[in-house]
Amino acid sequence: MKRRTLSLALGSVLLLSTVAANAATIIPLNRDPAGSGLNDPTAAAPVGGNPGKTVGDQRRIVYQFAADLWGAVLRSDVEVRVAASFQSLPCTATAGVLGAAGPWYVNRDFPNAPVAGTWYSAALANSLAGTNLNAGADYVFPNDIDISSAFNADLGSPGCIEGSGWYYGLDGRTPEGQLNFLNVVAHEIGHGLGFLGFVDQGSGQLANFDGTPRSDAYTRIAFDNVTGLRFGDAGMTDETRAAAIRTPGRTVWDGTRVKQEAKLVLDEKLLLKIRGTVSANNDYGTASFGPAATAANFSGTIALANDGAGADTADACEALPAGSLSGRVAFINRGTCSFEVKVVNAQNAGAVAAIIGNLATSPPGLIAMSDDPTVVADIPALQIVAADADAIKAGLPGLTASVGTVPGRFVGADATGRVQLFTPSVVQPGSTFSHFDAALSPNALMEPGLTPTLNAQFNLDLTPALFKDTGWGVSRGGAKIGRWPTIVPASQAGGLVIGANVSAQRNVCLFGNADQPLKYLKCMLSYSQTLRTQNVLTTRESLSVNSAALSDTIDLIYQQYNLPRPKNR
Amino acid sequence: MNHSKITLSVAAGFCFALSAQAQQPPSSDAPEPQAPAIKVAIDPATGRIRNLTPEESAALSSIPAQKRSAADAARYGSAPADNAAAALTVRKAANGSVSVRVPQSAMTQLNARVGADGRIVLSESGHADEAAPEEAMK
Repeated sequence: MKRRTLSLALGSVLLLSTVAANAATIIPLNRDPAGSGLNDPTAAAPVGGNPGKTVGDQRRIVYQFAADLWGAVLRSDVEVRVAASFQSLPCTATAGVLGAAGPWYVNRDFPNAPVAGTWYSAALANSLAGTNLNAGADYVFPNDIDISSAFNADLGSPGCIEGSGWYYGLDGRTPEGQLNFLNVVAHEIGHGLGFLGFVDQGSGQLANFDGTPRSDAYTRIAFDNVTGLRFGDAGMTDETRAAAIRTPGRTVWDGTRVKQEAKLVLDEKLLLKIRGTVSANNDYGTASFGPAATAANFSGTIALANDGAGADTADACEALPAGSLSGRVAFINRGTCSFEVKVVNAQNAGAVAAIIGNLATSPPGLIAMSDDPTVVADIPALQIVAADADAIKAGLPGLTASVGTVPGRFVGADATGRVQLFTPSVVQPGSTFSHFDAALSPNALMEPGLTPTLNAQFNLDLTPALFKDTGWGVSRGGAKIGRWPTIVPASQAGGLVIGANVSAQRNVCLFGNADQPLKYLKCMLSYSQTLRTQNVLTTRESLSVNSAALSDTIDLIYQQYNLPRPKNR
Repeated sequence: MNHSKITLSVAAGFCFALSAQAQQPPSSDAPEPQAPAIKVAIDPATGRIRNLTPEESAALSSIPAQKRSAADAARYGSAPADNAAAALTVRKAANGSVSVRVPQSAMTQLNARVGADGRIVLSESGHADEAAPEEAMK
């Protein structure tokens, strides 16, 4: 796989980088009462590498695994405290809230703050400052936390997404209809660590927590592709920000690390390639009817449709002369009749494909052309914005069209490689702006949607890169088991977190074995072998994991028997 | 690409419980503001997890969170309801550092109502609907 290969290559280089701080220690704080939530005593069979024997056990193990995973990836000398709980959240028989999390405090103008007058989530601020900035008289239970998180306790029960349920396995093999708890927890902790912006999604105003609107570590790096300004720039008005977060594809991430790593992660993008008197590579909207446009089925000389009727003779709303578009890619103006009627008329005139161009009077932007149930089109069709359409019409005749990839263009990124943020035209509170765009391919952990293809246990894709852009230190060096280093990078460019996974496995293997060091060692060695068999670890990496696990086991033995440690340990 | 998705939302740093702190104004009688959150839908026919439509997301957001017992409030804590409440939590250190509890209202709420045509209409607090279609027939 491209991602694995490139990431490994870059990771080996970055292995040499200096670690300025230790791996973060992220501590889930169980806030649930006895007998419920994280303490649910209901018996459960171990599943997917999760050895817990009760529902509560399994939930705590996943929570801890997610915390340890992020902890191994990020650097901080200040522990990150995460309130963890299961609660009754809004739910119906077919839809519901699964969980929520976010920073409990934000801080600004602290020692070592990268940008003055800018809010940072508490965990990041503490990491940068090297101290717990919020410690003090108010930092007491239940506010002695940096992140709050809660998950749906009723999932799968009557009245709450019936037929579903959490999957507590750590192997990513989520059964159909179940929800991978690890992916969800990793996603939500990600928000708590700072993957969110505080722009008012209605007014576009920056965060106004203390009487003055101020940018935050995330928002300041968001970029408006229309004005060419970052969200925190002086020239950026509230109105412009509000418009930018309501326009799909307009708001992108301007951080250098995400841009660099997007090349390793995202699929190459198909574009409409125009050549001849005009040379352009156009983004396009797709059709829900007819075959999807591909390099194989979308190619040819462009011909302007002319039905000779109505106010616009190029709208193809009436039948076109037979054979007038034979073998051609029809160019058709948007408007008056349905997209599919236009395409059928072009098809009947011999066209092999169709481009439908917006007019200046059309609703702006790219859209998904929906099906017209009265007709059936059998040729591929695309839709383009008015500016691109005008350029094509001005260049006719003498143009060809094809669909294909273009170097440097990726799915979910703009023409310069900046990754898009989620900015649907209808604001979705809690989703809008604070996620990567749902257009990314492959899907990313911090999109507003999760797919079964995600495997947070091994891959956090572009999220560590985004954290790096906001100011987090990201661990590239060998992950540790206990205090013993391995040669497996905690994280690599492109988001692979194999080393972090191995680090997180420590607490999984300690479950039930805390006072049985040899059983712990057996568990770690078995896991190392499994990853080796799956080609997740190389032989050399696996040996280093085994060695670190052995050293860690010896530490546990010293600890168990309260033995004085030799000077060399 | 986006098949069988779970729709997620960010929480902007808020928990759900009622406040137990004297300086956190929302009263225990007030409906708890809806925290943005992960949401998911299931197709009852296939049993598959699928995307939540914006309308479904809004409808879900309109369900008030359950009120909590005093014990739960004390256990889980609560975020300030809005910027004004958050301002009461501002702390300034001698070195110029400032901290504040993140308010629940930092992100706008999307409300759902049934329009004249029977469809769910989305609106944000204080803002007119201005949904541009992302899918169109013509």
